[in-house]
Amino acid sequence: MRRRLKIIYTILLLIIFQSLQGQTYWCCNCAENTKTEPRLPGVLVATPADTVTWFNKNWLPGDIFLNSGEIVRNINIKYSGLLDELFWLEPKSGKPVKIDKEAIQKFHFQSVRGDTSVNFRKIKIKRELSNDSIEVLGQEIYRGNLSLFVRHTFYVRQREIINTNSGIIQRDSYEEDPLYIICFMNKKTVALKGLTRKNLYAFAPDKKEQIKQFFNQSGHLKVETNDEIKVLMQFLGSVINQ
Amino acid sequence: MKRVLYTILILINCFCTIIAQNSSGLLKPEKIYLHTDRDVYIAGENMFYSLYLQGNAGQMSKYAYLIIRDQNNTFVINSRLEINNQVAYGTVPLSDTLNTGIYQIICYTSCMRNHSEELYFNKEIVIANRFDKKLNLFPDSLNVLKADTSVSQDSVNKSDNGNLVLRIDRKVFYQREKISFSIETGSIPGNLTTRLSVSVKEIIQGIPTLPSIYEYFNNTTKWENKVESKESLCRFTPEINGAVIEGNVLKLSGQANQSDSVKNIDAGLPPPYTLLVSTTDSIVNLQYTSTDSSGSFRIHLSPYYEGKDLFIRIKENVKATIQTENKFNLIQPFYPSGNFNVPGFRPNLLRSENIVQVQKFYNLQQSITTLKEFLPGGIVPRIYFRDYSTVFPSDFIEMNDFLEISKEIVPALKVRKVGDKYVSGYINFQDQANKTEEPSFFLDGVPIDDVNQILSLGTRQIKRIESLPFNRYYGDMTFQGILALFSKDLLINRIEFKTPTIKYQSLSSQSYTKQELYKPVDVNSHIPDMRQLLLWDPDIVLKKSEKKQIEFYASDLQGKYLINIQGITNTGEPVNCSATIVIQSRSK
Repeated sequence: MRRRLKIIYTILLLIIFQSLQGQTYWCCNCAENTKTEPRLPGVLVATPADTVTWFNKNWLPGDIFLNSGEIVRNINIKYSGLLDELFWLEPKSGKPVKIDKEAIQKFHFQSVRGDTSVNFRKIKIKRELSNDSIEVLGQEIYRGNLSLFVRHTFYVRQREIINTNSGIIQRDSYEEDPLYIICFMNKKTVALKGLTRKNLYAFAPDKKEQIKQFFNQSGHLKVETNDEIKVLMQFLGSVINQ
Repeated sequence: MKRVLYTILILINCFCTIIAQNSSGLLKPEKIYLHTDRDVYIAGENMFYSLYLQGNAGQMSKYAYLIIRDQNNTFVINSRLEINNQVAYGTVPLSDTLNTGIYQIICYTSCMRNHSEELYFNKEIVIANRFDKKLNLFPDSLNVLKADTSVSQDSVNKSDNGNLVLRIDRKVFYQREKISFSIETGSIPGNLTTRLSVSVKEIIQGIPTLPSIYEYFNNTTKWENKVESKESLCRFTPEINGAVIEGNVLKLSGQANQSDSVKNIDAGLPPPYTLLVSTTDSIVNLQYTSTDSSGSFRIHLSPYYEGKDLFIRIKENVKATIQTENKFNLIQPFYPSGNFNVPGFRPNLLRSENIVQVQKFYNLQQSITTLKEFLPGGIVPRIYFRDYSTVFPSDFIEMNDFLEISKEIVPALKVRKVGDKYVSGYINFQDQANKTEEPSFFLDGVPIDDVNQILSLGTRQIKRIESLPFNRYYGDMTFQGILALFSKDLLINRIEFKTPTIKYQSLSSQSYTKQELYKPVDVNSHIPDMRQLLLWDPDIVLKKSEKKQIEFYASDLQGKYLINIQGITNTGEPVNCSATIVIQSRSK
């Protein structure tokens, strides 16, 4: 019995030796281990204290696509609609860092309440009463011939002056006032306060009848859900010549 | 029972071996083949080349390194080639002053450096100096040369060998006659795109023919039994995504200063150091990396830094030296094989020298077309985009030094004397916990040590000052405020750094160039046409079932010419074919 075991062990050792010999390593096995991580430029700032004006209240893992073509993956990020800025939880110091908007091309949340398709992209829009354009971060709702972005802007609904032990403080209550931005293939943008029938008539006055027909057929007065938005954008993309 | 058990164990053994081989077999070794227009050159001529790379799809090196060295192992050429779709091509100008001799061309990728130098592509060429009429290196009687215009009895309408199909109407042509042939992929399976290079050169009798790309890539004995440990294979980083700078930080002993040699290196392992890479620019730029436990570092260089003079610095104040890996480092010396010591070679070389003299006399130079240039570009790795305030000292009355400038015109910055040194800081800085730390100073886009290095600069030297009195981040690197100065005369080059710093010339890639197709202005021209290279085209793309027609003109030189076609398919399969043609005089 012992002899038999010895033979079995010898053969097993042979198996291990031969298997190892069969492995021929060529260069490139180690290629992926040596990639230099891209660096995010940013500034340490005080973040808004309220919980309303954040797109995501808690830090969520996401990927940032930089203008340089590099991608910073799986870092904790938070987007502030009030400031229109993206924040990153710097892991070493544990402090929130406002990422320079100039460096960002787009960013993506890995999952927002189970939704894995939340993307924000930097777009150029015209300022009101000015010829200058500014770059803003808009949530990409639909991408096609006509793309749709939402700017999560806020306005001060109520302002309170409160007397505290440490002095007088001002407390603001915010309410979301989303702005819908329709982006043409040539990067031209049109901003709408809402995707209502009236706004769409103003957006495409020559297609008024077709829009009216679309709304009548769909049976909705307002377009609200993502699926409804998608259908509307597909329809607009098909009727509006660029 | 015993027999069954043994059989099972043996079967398991075979199975495990096969499995192990298969898992490693997913990665093939990188192989390079270099097709050159000729094997013999006269100093002052151009060498045209086309490089083919075989490797693992999606994991192939982006760069190759080309070296030409002489018998004394002196490098006469070293360049970086950029590989696109497994191919790179270009021109190497062979300097007029090169001595007559046998030279070696070596070509490899960074990935191949992890293996024996025997696996690098190498080939011998002869370069003769046109003023060297003795040619002592090639002892041979000066036979009277007669052009070999004999026609072999081979079939005339198909190629001599290879897996491509080359069709040519005739095998004999007259001087200055237009010659045309076609190439097809023939029986090569799959829906392929094939990239080819074609040379038509005069045959020099006696010189051994080099293996074709097909023979070279399929010569498995060369790559067999090259088992290496995984650790040694990761010594040189494969440059798949871009250029890599790698090297070591060697810590010097306590008593040593920066100028000491590496002999004083501590036996202990250095702690991780931060290496900063930047270049002079009107924008503050930075890339950084850390050393590993052995003191080694590697940085994937931003395309912006390509071909620029870089400052590589250690951030920490430590007595150490930075050693970067030389991409053109060869260990094995070159010993010529003697392949060119063949009868009749010397007179052939003399003839080539005379031909080049005549070509020079008539100013008939080879024209070169540039198809793609690899200019430095890319986005600047900026550490900030917007500054808090920009100050132009020339807008104010003249001030003699930075101490005065900081006091008078730079907002929030305070410079004061502590002992015999000056320290700086931003007042009302947001991060009070770290207020003892000084802001980071940059001069001409490059990080410097502290304010003491710029104190002597006044209004006349400083063009612009950018100030950021904030706690800034760049990756995991923090800056307790940033002050960037831009000088009028790039004063960064005169700064003495306190921490170990080296200047590093980053490489740039050779342009894609090729010989311009020769088209005679007048076939009956009295100007002699003595081209020994009738055609060089490294940029032929052949699609599946496509027939490519190639045309060129014969010269006045009678003799046998070799049509040599080498290439690679998009799946990495080597392809080639060749044919011989004869140029005869019209009077025959």
